Amino acid sequence: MNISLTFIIALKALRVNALRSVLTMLGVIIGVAAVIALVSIGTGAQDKIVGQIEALGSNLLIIVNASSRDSGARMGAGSKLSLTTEDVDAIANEKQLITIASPTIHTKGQVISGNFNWSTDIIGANKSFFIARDWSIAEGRFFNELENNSSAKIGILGKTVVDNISPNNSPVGTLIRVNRVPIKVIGALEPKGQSADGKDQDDIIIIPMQTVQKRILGSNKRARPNMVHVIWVKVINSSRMSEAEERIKEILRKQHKIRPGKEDDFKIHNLEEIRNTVSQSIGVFTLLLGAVASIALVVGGIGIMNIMLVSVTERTKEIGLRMALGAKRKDILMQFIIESITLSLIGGFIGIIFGMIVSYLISKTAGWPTTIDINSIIIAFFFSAAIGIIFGAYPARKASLLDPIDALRFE
Amino acid sequence: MELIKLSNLSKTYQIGQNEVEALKNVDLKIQDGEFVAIMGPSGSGKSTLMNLLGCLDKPSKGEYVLDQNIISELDSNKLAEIRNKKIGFVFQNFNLLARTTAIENVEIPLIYSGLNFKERELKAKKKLDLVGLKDRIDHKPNQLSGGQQQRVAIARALVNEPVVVLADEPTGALDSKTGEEIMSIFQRLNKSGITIILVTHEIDVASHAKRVITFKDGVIIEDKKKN
Ligand SMILES: Nc1ncnc2c1ncn2[C@@H]1O[C@H](COP(=O)(O)OP(=O)(O)O)[C@@H](O)[C@H]1O
Ligand SMILES: [Mg+2]
Repeated sequence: MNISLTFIIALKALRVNALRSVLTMLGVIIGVAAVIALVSIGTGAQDKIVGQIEALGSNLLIIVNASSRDSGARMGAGSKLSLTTEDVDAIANEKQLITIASPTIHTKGQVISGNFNWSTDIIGANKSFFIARDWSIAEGRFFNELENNSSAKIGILGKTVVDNISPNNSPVGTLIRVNRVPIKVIGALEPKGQSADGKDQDDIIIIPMQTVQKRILGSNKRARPNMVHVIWVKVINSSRMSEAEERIKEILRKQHKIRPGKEDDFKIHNLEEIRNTVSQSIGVFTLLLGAVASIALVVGGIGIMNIMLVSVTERTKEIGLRMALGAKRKDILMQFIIESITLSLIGGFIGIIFGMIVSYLISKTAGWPTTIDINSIIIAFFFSAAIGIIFGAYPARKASLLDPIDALRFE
Repeated sequence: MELIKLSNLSKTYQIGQNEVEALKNVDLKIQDGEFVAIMGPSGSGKSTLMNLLGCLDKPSKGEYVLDQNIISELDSNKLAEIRNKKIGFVFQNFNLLARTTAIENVEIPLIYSGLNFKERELKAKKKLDLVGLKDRIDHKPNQLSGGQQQRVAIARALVNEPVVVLADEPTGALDSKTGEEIMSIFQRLNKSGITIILVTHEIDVASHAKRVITFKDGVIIEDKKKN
């Protein structure tokens, strides 16, 4: 007796009680839809955060002072700044590994333009910084060579700053004040959006490093002429990130004369590594969501088992007849298993479509990013087939073990 | 040729503490091509005998040989095969599958013999034609009269060319005129060489058979052959 014929018999049997079959499927439909939708939320979040990390710049190593926090913008009392422009030059010398090593210094400040007033992050940078961070200009221009090496009073604004100090017209060409220093705006940056830790990357003004050093931090006692808060290093390609990290570590330890066994006075963030870690931890979270949703799937399976048991009882006489006409126990077993697999697979199929719709609606209404992964569809499909087999097995076995005479005599 | 041989066959049912001996040491031989009617009062063991002959049940004691197969020794798969290939059942209440057309009902035994769609259709049509239902093949049981339903059941019993047709009170649920029609079909089938064993408690029905065996309390009390 072949499978396709058994399948046809199963479909017929299910059609006889169409409403009951649909209601039974509903459990699987909801279960599968929940798995698809919730996993799509998890995967969507993962894609978004990974995207944000990648937006920081590709093949990037970020080197900060060990005692300073984050990008060096907030420094605790007594934190000592070990990174210097000499370090930058030493790193930049590793030409076979590194394309760019770009230093920045960071501070906070008040930006004033006419009646507008905005507090933002000030970054002192060289023009290579924009390349290191894959940052493109929306309007105006980057620093030129001369401005780069002098303390020109010019600046480039991030989108948020533009929106807050010059909401109605282009800021390019206007004169603003940054911590009371007059600065001419020469450009505005393309927006990068939020970073993975929720920081607005566009709330920023970028000014030549020397300008920040001499004119804006000038009054600060701790400002040394060669100090650097962050070094942005672009590695030649993503497969050599760890190698570059090791090499830089060596260089800096030598530069800083750190004796073996002593701790580093700097810290290297490997974006590739961070991305993998974050991606992994969200992956675990997604798995958890999927696991919770699959409880609904199991409940759906129990629904199938319940209905299959009813069906076996109702059709006892049919089973007896089929046995009298030559059905073997395994034929009866197959008939009922295929019937429950059909139920769960149709349910699974509808559930997948339903889940995709729900996922789409969530991203539309709640604004969450959702990504439907082909894997979750495949898994949901096989999972529902498995549900059909597992929860159909007991009723089917019960049917196949009926005594033909008792079954025939059943009313 | 000897088709059926029962030797010292007994069947005992256990109901709680009580034992019911439905058949007691029955010895019986039936030749190929016979038309046998089994008679006897209710509870005399006729159906029990039919179930054993039909390989639906196993004897408590004794031996049953059908067409050279020692049935008492076979496992459930082998028995299913014997039922499928060698035995045709006709039941009192027809036992057709509801919501299933006449031809699909007739095809069921062929499904379990592993025949493909074309072969099944061909054979089923031929047997429905044989019982005079050529123009009813797509009717469902609830669209057929009792006599027609029983004829579908007979077609189903014949479809796999069995060595014996077993009919337990095949006219029991029919009026006497329709019963006669069914009996004339059986008679015709027997003339064409098919062995038929049927249970009845109506003399009229039994009169169609060539041999009448009468049971009482699980034993044969009379075995009469007509010439
Ligand atoms: N499944 C069963 N369980 C217990 N007793 C049974 C069963 N089937 C039949 N019997 C008993 O066996 C005897 C013969 O029954 P049966 O063969 O059905 O008689 P008949 O068909 O001649 O009326 C009866 O006493 C009946 O009660
Ligand atoms: Mg009876």
